[in-house]
Amino acid sequence: MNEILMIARKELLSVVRERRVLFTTLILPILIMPLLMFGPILLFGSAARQTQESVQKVGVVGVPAAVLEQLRKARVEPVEIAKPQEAVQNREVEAALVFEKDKYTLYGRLSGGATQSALVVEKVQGALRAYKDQLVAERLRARGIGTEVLEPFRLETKDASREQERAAGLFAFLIPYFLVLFIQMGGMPVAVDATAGEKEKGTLEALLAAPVPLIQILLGKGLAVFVMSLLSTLAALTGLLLGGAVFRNLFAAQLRAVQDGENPAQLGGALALDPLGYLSMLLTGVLFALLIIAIMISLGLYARSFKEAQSYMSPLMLVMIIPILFLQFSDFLKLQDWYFTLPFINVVLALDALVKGSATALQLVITWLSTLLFAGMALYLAYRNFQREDVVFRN
Amino acid sequence: MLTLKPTQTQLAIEVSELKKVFRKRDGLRAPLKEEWALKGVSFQVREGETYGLLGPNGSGKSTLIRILSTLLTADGGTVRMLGYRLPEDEARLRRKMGRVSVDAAFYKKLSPRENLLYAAQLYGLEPRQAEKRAMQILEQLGLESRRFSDPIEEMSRGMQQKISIARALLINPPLLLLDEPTTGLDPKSRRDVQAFLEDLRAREGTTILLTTHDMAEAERLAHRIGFLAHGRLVAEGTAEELKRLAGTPDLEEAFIALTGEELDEEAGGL
Ligand SMILES: Nc1ncnc2c1ncn2[C@@H]1O[C@H](COP(=O)(O)OP(=O)(O)OP(=O)(O)O)[C@@H](O)[C@H]1O
Ligand SMILES: [Mg+2]
Repeated sequence: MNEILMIARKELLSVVRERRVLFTTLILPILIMPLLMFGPILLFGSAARQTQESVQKVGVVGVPAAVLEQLRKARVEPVEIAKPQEAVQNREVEAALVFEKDKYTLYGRLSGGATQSALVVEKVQGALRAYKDQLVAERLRARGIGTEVLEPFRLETKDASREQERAAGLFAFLIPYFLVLFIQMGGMPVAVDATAGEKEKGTLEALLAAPVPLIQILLGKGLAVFVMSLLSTLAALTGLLLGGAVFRNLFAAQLRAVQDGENPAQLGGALALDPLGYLSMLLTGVLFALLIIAIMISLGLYARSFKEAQSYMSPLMLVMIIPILFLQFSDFLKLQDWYFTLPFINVVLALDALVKGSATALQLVITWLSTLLFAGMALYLAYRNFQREDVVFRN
Repeated sequence: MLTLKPTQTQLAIEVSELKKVFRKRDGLRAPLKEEWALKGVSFQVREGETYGLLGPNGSGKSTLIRILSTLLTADGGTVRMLGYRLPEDEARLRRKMGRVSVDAAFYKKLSPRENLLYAAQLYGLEPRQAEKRAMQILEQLGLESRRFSDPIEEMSRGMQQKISIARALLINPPLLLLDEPTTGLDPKSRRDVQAFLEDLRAREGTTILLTTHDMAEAERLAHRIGFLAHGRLVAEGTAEELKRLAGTPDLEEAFIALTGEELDEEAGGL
C-alpha cells in the first residue's frame, strides 16, 4: 500500500513539474469549456441577428410592385436580374424570386446547414406570407366575412422536457462527451510518462529490478493517472459551471437576443441534478476512468517510445466520438437495455440519460457492472503486459 | 581455456550453461526469427571478488546482467546467487543486488535527492537514513552537495553516472552488477568511480560483476576477466593469464586475438 502511494506520488511529481502538462490538463479545460459551449452560439447568434437586421439583395423576375413593397418592408432589396438560378449560385444575390402566372419560385442556397442565404430565404418567405395573409383578409372582407374564420382555434406549444434536461439545454449531448474526453485527455500525459516514458528514459528497468511486486507498481501508476484524470475532469466541470454562469451574466443581452428574449438558462450548460444524480454521474465517470486508464497503461507499456505511445492513444479519442454520434440521434431510436452493456457507448448513454434525468436504475446498474467487468479485464491485460518481457523489452 | 578453480570461501555467483533467445518478427507476416544472445555461458564469482566481463558490442553482456538482475528470464541453464536460485528466489535476491547500467537512467524532472530517495523507498529503506547515506556517497564520488536539489536534467552525463552509482549503493548490497559503469565519463570521473569501487570492496567486501570496454579498467578492477563473444565465454582468467594465453603483451591485443573475427566460433566455445 505504502509502495503504491509512493509510486503514484512520484509519477504525479514528474508530471506536475512540467508546466506545459499542468496547463493543458488543468488550466486549459477551465478556459476552454465556456468558449466551446458558448462561443459558437454567441458568434452565430450575433451573425444571424446581423443578417436579420441588415439589408440583403434579392433578385426578382416579374414580381408585382405590391410584393416588392412587402420585400422592402422585410429588409431585403429587390433587384431585377435575368438569370435567377445562376445569380444565386454565384452569390450575386442571396436569394431570387420569380413570378410566373400564379406561381412564385424562390431560389436560395439551402444545402449545407445554416447559410446566410437560408436566413434571407426565410425573410422572403415571411414577406410573401404576410402578403398572402393581406390578400386573403382583403378578399374575405370583400365578401363580408370576418378574419377570425381563418383561426378557428389557437395552438400553443409548451416545453415538457424534464427540469434537468432544460437546464442542460441545447448542449445536453455535449456534457457526456466532454466528461469522457477530459477523463481521457487529463490522464494521457501521466499514462504515457509512466509507461513508454519510463521505457524511453530507461528508468523502467531500475523500477522492475526493485523488490516491489508488479501489481503494486501497476496500481501506483494507475492511481497517478486516475488522480490527473479526476483533476482534469473537475477542471472541465468547473469551467463549464463557472464559465456558464459568467457567460450568462456578461452576455445576458446578447444571449437574450439570440433566443428571442427567452430565459437565458435555456441555452444550458447548467446541471440541475439531485444529489443521487450527481453521485451516479461520479460513479459512472470513475468506472469509465478505470477502464480507460487500464487501456492507456496497456498501450503505453506496449509502445517503444513516447511518440509511439501517443500515436496509440490518440485514436482512442476518435473511438469515443462514435458513441457521441450515436447519442445525437439517441432520441430517434428506442433505447434497448442491452445497449448499456456495450463498452464506451454505455457510459456515454448513461451520462446522457443522467444529465437529462431519464436514466433508469436498471440501465445504470447494467452500465456500472459491465464497465467494471471491462475495466477488470483491461487491468488484467495491463498486468500481463507488465509481466511479459517481450512487451517490456520490445525493440 | 584458462579457469581458476574457485577455492576458498563461498561462491557469490554461479552461472551455468545460461542461454537466452530473443524472438522477433521483421514484418507482420514475416516468420519469427530467433537470435541467441547467450548460447550457454558458465562462470563463477567468489564472494568479495570482482569479475570483469569484456566483449564486443552485441556479445550479450547487458543481456547477462539483465538476467542476473531478474529483468529477463533465461531460456536455459541455472543461476545461483548468494545461495538463492533464479527465478524462484527473485524477490529475496532483488533486495541484495544493486545495479548500475550504462544509460544512468533517472527521472529527469526530479532532483538527485528525490531520485535517490525514491529508489531507497522502493527498497524499503527509511528515508532519513537513506538520505544521510546518499549524501555521503555522493560526496565521496566528488559531487558538490549544493547540486543535490537541482533537476537531474541540468546535470552532465558524468554527474548522472555518479548519482546512478550512489543509487545502487544506497541499499549497501552484497552484490553489485555494473553494466559499463564508466562508459562516457571523462578520465577524472572515471578514476573517481574506479577509486570508489576499490574503496567500497575493501571496506564492505562487496562482490562485483562488471562489464566494460575499457581494458585498463578491467585490469585495474577485476580479479578475473571473462571474454564474451557472440553469446559465448571464449576465455577466462586473470589479466596475466589471458595475455599469456593469447601470447600478446597487452590485454587489448589478447582481447582482439581471442574474440576477433579470426576466432573460430565453435572452437572457442566452452
Ligand atoms: N530486447 C531485445 N530484443 C531483441 N534482441 C535483443 C534484445 N536485447 C538484446 N538483443 C540482442 O541480443 C544481442 C546481445 O545484446 P546485448 O545488449 O546483451 O549486447 P552487449 O554485449 O551489451 O552490447 P554493447 O556492448 O553494445 O552494450 C544483440 O544481438 C542484441 O541485438
Ligand atoms: Mg550493453
